[in-house]
Parts: sequence; structure tokens; C-alpha cells
Amino acid sequence: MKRVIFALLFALIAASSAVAWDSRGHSTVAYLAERHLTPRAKANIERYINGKSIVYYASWMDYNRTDPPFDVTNDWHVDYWTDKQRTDSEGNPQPPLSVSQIKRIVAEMGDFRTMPDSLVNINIKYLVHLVGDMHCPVHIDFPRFRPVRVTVDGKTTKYHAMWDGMIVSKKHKELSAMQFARELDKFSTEQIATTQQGTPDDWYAETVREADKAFKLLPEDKIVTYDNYFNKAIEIVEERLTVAGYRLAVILNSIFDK
Amino acid sequence: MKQFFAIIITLLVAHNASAWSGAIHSGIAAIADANLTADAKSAIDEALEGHSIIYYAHWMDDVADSETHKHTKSWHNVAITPKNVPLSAKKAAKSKVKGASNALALEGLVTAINALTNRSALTTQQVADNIRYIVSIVCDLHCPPHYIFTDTPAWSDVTYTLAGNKHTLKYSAFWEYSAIRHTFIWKTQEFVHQLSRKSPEQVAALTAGSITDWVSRNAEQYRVVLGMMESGAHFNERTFRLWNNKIYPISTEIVATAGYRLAAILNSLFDEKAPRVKTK
Repeated sequence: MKRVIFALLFALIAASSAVAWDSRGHSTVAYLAERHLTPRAKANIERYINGKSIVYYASWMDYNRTDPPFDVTNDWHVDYWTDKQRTDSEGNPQPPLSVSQIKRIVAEMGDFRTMPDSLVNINIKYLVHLVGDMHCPVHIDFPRFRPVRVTVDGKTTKYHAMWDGMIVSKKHKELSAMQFARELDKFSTEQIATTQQGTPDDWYAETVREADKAFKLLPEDKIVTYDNYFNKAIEIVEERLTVAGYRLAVILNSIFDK
Repeated sequence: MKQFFAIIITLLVAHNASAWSGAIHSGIAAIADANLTADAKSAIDEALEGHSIIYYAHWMDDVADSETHKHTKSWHNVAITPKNVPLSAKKAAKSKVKGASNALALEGLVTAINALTNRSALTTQQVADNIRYIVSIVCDLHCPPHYIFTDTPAWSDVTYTLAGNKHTLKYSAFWEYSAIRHTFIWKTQEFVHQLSRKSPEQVAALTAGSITDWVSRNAEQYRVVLGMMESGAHFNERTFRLWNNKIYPISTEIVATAGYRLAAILNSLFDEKAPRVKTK
């Protein structure tokens, strides 16, 4: 029985990674960001989230997306639009909801001390998650990727599911999110500063480019192996998680380091 | 997500026992280890021949079938009266409630603590064994299904079903594997990072009173936890997630509490300057 349990637990760890830019991936982004929070920003943030780490809430939005008080957020995670350049009713270009929500929250949180604690709390949870989501290639132009299926180890799976976490699981299944963040946090001070420049709109445009790059890596027959895909795709995964972490840190520091 | 849900179901079906999984034991031990005083940690690591308590977090489960340690088989559960008082060994022995007569975890813990209080009379092996007993028993005393309430249905009688699975599942097994794991896939040191964050005042409140008081306070809380699952409930993936959203803040807090209390006991035993923990 113990062997069965062990095997199932192992499968559980692998599978939970397979659903995660929302679990391991999001935690990795949050851990990395936490390493770059200023002491004052970290203290201010944790005061609003009951002394918890931001990592504790990295996937909170996923766990609550169908809960009636928060189901309005269900569409914020991925880019459901069929055209890359969406417009509002008057024809004005609009960013995806993840980006527009990040911009809204950052603008509203300028003077967070005047806001109700509960609103600051929820906005922190939103930011910690959405910055990760907007850097995930398969969250961009979702309808394009949604029908795509790939074959991994003889089994057919969704391209989206493979990207959400399976690539990390295949390459680094032994690493905790905390350790993975440590491994990724290797940028120089100058590289971090460069990464943190720009706006959420710029970062979104960058993710669009990376999404296209990642899609073009797929072999024509969609039969994915380490050699023809994972070993190349992991570089994109790691880069996305890393820059998301640095950018989450700069956003949170800009709000809470005062 | 469906794959994750399916594996959770398989795990719950596969396992019938009721104890924290090894991962949770290790997480609790790691929180305790991070909160040992320098003197206590040094003395304990020496007694364990260089290993930390994390290394032995579920050791008592592993050796339960051995001749030397078979007496510990009754040191996993505790029987509780309607007033949330732990039943004495004498009363437990007479109880007709299923499992109560073998629910001697509190007695086991007190035995190990008393032995270590007078450890000059023990061999080095006995010192190590009693430390390892304490680690396992404190973990178990902070796992809700280890509480046998003499006035309520047994945990294992509270069952539920999940969409897509024909088996009836036990609430006790849910607590063992999924109460935290359905939400977090933490490894050992992540438990420390996430849960070892209490202020000195909060730690003092958690560790206030005697160990018997702790068990009574746990019993009060775990009764509420037991009532959070309506027997016969049926969930789909969405409703199970939403129900879990109510459970995981409780389960993570229980694990943190266990870690701080384990540290308090070991500090009390191995550091003369640390506050004393009384058993009664």
C-alpha cells in the first residue's frame, strides 16, 4: 500500500505542476518577487495579508475564480479575444483584461493607506497572480492555442496544459517553487533594472512575441520530446517566470515602499 | 486541473488510514526545528547523531511493527469527552466507543516527556527514541481525525463522493492528504517559509497552558472541522474547490500551531532557559 501511495503522490506532484503556472509557476514568480521586495514594501504588504507571504496567495485567484463574489475575475486570467488588437465599442485599442486590471490596480493603489484594508488585501492577491498570468505565453491569444493538441510520452494533451506547467515538471520536477525561484534569480543588477523598465503594455507586447516564438518551436507532427521541444521551451518558460518575478517586485515596491 | 482532481480522487480512494501524510509530518518538524533555541537544537541534533528532527518526522509510523516499538501503536489517537476533555487511559480502556481504548497518544506523549525529563537514567538510544516519539505524537495530536469524540460519529463514518468517481470517500482520508495538498504543493522548507511567521505574542498564545489544555483546545476546534463535512455530501470539481477554500486556511494554521508547540516542548526539555511546558 505504501508503494501505491508513494507512486500516487509522485503523480500528484507531477500533475499539480501540470496545472500550474497557477501553482508552481505562480509560486515561483511570487517567491522571486519576494526576494526583491524592499524591507519596507514587504512589511507594508504583509500587514495587509495577515502576516502571510505573498506566495501563500500566488494562486488565490485561481482557487476563487468561480466563487460568486469573485466570479467577475474569471475572465481576467487569459486572453480570450480572437484578434490580437482588441477594441472597445468606439474602436479604441484595448489591452487584455489581465493588463488593464494591473494598470487599474496600480493607479488606484497610489495612496493605499487611504483605502479599506480589505480592498488593499484583495488588490495584492490580484497583482501577485495577474503579473504571472500576463507573462505566460499560452495565456495570450488563448483561442488560437486552445484547440491545439500535442503528444507527450504517447499521450495526447492540450498545448495549453503542457505550457502551464508540464515543461517545468519535465525539466525540474525535483525542485520546490522556492528553490526554483532561487535558481532563476541570477540576473545582474543592470539586467534586472532593464527588465523592470517599460509598462505593462510593453510587457504584454513582449509576451505576444514570446508566445509566437514558443508556438513555432512545436514540431509539425506535434509529437513533443525532450530533444525537439522541452529542452528549448524550458528556456522560454524560465525567462518568462524570471521577468514576471522581477516585474512583480517593481510594481509592489512602487506601491508599498513609502 | 481535471488531471489533478482525478489523482486526488485516486489518492483518497487508495488510502484508508488516518494520519498526516509524511510530507505534513516533515513540514511540522521543520517549523519546530526552525523555532528551537540554539541550545535545544544542539542537544537534540547530538542525541540524534547529527540528524535533525525533520529526518525522523514520521519515524514512529515506520517502526510501529517492530518488536521494540510495538507499544507505540496506541500512541496515535486521543479519545475526547463531550466537554472536550481527553479521556484518561483508565476511562478509555472501559469505553465502548470504537477505537477509544487504544487512543493513548496523550499518555504516550507524557511518558516520553517524563522519560526525557529524567534522561540521565536513559541510554543514548532511549533518549533518541523518546525525542522521535514526541515528534510523531505531537504531529498526530494536531491532526483532526486523530480525535475520537465519544459523542459524535467516527471520522471514518463521515463520507462524501466526488463527480466522476464511483467510490465513497472518507473525510478522515481527505484530511490526511488533501486538506493542504489540494491547494499547496509545498516541500519541507516551504512549510517553514509560509507558516513559521508568528510574532512572539502569537506564539505565546498558541503555547499557553499545559499540553492537556492544548488537546482540549484542539478538540474544540476539530469538532467544528468535523462538522464542516456533511456526511453523504456530493461534490463536483468546482464545489470541491470552493469547499477546500474554507478548509486550507484552517489546516495550514493547525500545522503551524503543531510546529510551534513541538518546538516549545523540545525547548522546555533541552534548554534550561526556555519556558517550561507542563503536561497537566
